[in-house]
Amino acid sequence: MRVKARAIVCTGCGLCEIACGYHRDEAFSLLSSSVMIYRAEEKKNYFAVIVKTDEDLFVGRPEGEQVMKLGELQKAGGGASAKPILIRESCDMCEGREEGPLCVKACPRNVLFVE
Amino acid sequence: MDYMYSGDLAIIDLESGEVDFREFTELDDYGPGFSSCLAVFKEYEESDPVVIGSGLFTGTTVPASCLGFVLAKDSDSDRVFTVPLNLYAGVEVKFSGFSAVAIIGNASSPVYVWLHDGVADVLDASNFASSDTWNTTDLIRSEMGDRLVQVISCGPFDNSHQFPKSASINYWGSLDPGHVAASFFRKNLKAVAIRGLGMIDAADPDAFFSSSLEFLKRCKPENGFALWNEQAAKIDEWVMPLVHRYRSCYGCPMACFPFLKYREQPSVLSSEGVEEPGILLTAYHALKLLKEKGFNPKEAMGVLEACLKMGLEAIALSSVIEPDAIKASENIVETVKTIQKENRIAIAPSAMFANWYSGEENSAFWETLNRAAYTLGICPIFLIKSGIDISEFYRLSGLACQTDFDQESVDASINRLI
Repeated sequence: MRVKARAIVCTGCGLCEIACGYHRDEAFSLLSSSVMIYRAEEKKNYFAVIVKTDEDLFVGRPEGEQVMKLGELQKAGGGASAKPILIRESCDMCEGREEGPLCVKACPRNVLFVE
Repeated sequence: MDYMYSGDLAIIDLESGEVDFREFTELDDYGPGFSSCLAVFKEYEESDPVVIGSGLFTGTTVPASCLGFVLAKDSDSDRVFTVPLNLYAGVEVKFSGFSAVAIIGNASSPVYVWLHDGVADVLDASNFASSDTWNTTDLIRSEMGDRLVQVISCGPFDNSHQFPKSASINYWGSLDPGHVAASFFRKNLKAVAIRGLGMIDAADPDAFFSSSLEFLKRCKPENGFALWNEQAAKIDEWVMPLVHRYRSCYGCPMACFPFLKYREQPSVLSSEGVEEPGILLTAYHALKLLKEKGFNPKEAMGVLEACLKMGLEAIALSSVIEPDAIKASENIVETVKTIQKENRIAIAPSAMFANWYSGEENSAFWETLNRAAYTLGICPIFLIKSGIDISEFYRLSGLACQTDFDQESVDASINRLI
């Protein structure tokens, strides 16, 4: 079981990031989440959803999903804005929270789901 | 205020190049968001200030808590004018390490201000003062090595001030009818770049978090300008064949803004291909004018993109451009530049808040709504359309910062200042 994303229906609101960060810190920040909206190609309106686990990254692109072993994102040419996900904590599925992953709960478009 | 803001008030004097920091006591004296920043604006009024701030809930899980703002002098009346910082710009202000920023005085040569993590730098912009807003954004992001830096900028410094200019948020329109850009030009301020890695605390975090998610559950996600009004809905229909995806501002269940691809198929989803495939439409008003004049959607996109790049106010430009000028043009940007030089237009009369809903600039309804929106940091369109009464949002303030605000207290604070 892991958090996945249907990026094609994502509108880039970022609530998943802030909710995940809240799980970590009980505060609001865009820094500490295990899920990240990739929005570095703004001029193309290209945005994707990345979820980090201990072993890999789930990369939900609008054109399809992919699971990449850690490190592959950098090799694939991810820019500076993509790299912080690699140094963040891994998704723990919001361990200890009865309601499950907060990113899933916060997403208003049902982009994120557990499977 | 111990919660919901982090960092001092920064006072950046462009004349001396010095930056001072002091405790943002106005938060306690006047309340969060607009009123405390208005107090700062008033304090530095003689120095032609540009004040940048954010609302109480900006950057949290409260739905549509995207809203930051820029206060600048209304070029016509000398009163304060407010331009929204939406998309991700307001959030980056909140996390910038400053509770608010006041930029005063005029620089002797072009500069830009770089706000990040409680540090405010005044940096030389001479080498890109003549750049368009897109190149300015690219240059600053490249220099900082971070493509998420938010850049509020104005177009080329070309000494042509007979036509309204408009500040941009990154590559897109900001709803500035001209006052913020005019302030930037007066100050020799090419851009303000913002990136925040900060963190904000709520007084009762669990109750605040769970209440905000309850609000989210009550919202019905919708797309497009149809959310705004009937006129806007017609623009939705007109541009539909070019719509690639809809974009929301930070934290918003609704996605008002269509990204329109007119240099490649709108259905193309990958990021490979055309470097500049189209534009994100952040307002519909200029497009309505272009449609009425007989432009087709692709031609209209070309005009708007030129306006965005050149930092021109799109409604003013749309009022003087004709379809034949574009049909005969090999370079739309050059054509738009020429039209700008040949026409003298004043900045449209403005009330205190940029109007992007009804066009009823002076309506009491819009002013009251915006007083709430810029206090709370919640998009005013969302406040209208969410179906949640504003008083319910105000009730979150106690959980957020241990102080209960309501419309009456907010109005009282603002009325002390205007």
